[in-house]
Amino acid sequence: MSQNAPLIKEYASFHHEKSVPLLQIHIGDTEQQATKVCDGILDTGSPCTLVPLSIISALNLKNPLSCNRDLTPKAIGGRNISSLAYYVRASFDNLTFFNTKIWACSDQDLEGLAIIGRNIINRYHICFDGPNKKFLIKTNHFILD
Amino acid sequence: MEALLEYSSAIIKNAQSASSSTLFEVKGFREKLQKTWSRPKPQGFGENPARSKHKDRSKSVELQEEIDLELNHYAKILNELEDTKAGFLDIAEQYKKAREIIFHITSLYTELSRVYREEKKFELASKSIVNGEYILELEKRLSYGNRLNYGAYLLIEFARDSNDNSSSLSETRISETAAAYKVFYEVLDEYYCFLHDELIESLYSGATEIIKVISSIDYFSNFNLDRQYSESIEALKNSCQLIISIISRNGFSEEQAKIISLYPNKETYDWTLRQRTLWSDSLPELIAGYSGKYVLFEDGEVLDSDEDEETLLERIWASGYTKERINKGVFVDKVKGN
Repeated sequence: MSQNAPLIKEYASFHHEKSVPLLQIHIGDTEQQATKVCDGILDTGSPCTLVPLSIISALNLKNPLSCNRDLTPKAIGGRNISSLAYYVRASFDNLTFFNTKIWACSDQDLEGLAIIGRNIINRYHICFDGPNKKFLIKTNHFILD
Repeated sequence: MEALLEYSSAIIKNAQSASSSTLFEVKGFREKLQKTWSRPKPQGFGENPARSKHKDRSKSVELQEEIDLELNHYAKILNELEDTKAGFLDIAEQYKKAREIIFHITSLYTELSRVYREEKKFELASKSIVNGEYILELEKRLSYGNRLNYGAYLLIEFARDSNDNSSSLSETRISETAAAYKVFYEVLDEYYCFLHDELIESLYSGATEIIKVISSIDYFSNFNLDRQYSESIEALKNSCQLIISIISRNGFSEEQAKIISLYPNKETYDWTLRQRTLWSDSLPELIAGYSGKYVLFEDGEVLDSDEDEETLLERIWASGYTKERINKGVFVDKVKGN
């Protein structure tokens, strides 16, 4: 394999009920001291990424991103849920990280799953293989022989 | 049931303190008003009153004087409410009078504002509206005192009845107790921030005690319980549970309590609320200087701005701004255009 070929990671995991792509997302503080991992579903219908509060609490993030009103994005099912933004670093492969804004919501509201929205999805080339319940993610990380 | 009498007296004390703190505010307000009165200039000798230019102005002075008289009347009633040893019905009558006066003063302020607008004194006109709104706020404060008194009255009746009768929850008074606790729940829900800690503690332990008593009732051996009694017991239990949950959330609504739980601590939440107030106050300057941009805002000042949110966030975190920030968030929002 060429040294400059981008890594294409194949995932073969779909959520058992929702039939949507399921994968692990690594969330860390921007100081690069701690990282936590949780399962998340790719949701192209969501403009932002929602993460269970237990992950954020475990990272002990001290400075939320406040704004002029409480934001209550709609979760799956159209229900409005309470949320608060934090600035974190995130990664699918625990190798290539990027900084981004995510929204912490109660674990109960998210049923323990992160909802990975377009603010993260749009950073990648993702290929869906629906019939085979597989998807491929091309990352910017390069494989070394 | 001696404890119930104690709760009732704590509740009445709190209701009285509602009157005394309102009285204090009214006195201060009246003094402030008197200082800013626009009195007509004294007429000079030989001046024909019929030719006075102050004909319209005297209407506003008349209104101001009427407001002052009514405020004085209101203060007298509050004074009586504070000292009174009268029964509940007399107290309720006083509250009713006080409310009527407040509504009258509010309508006088509306009229005063109209007169000022006709005179093109727009600043005074808006000041009159503000004063009218302030007076209405005072009514709200007094209203919770009235409602607490009503609840306490119902409870005292119940406690007296329980002393005469050894049964823990008598049929005759249970509906009054249920009504009293419904009143207490509504007061807690609406006026939590005005209430004294002592009262909140009393209501909490009262509700806990009542739930304990209700739970010990053996419904199976009391199958003759009539429907109304059972419904009152259920209503009482429901109000007590609501009281316990609202106090456990420190007076916040379920939604607010959920939002606060997302913050690292309560101090950071309070900091955010302060920034929101400052943001609203600074909105004209923000729109003038940063319309359509994302800004980093703190204590009334814009520390950085950018058209792109991600770029701004990247810069904020790279600058070290977030280092050593204790009990504070990072306040970033988009300034909406005109």
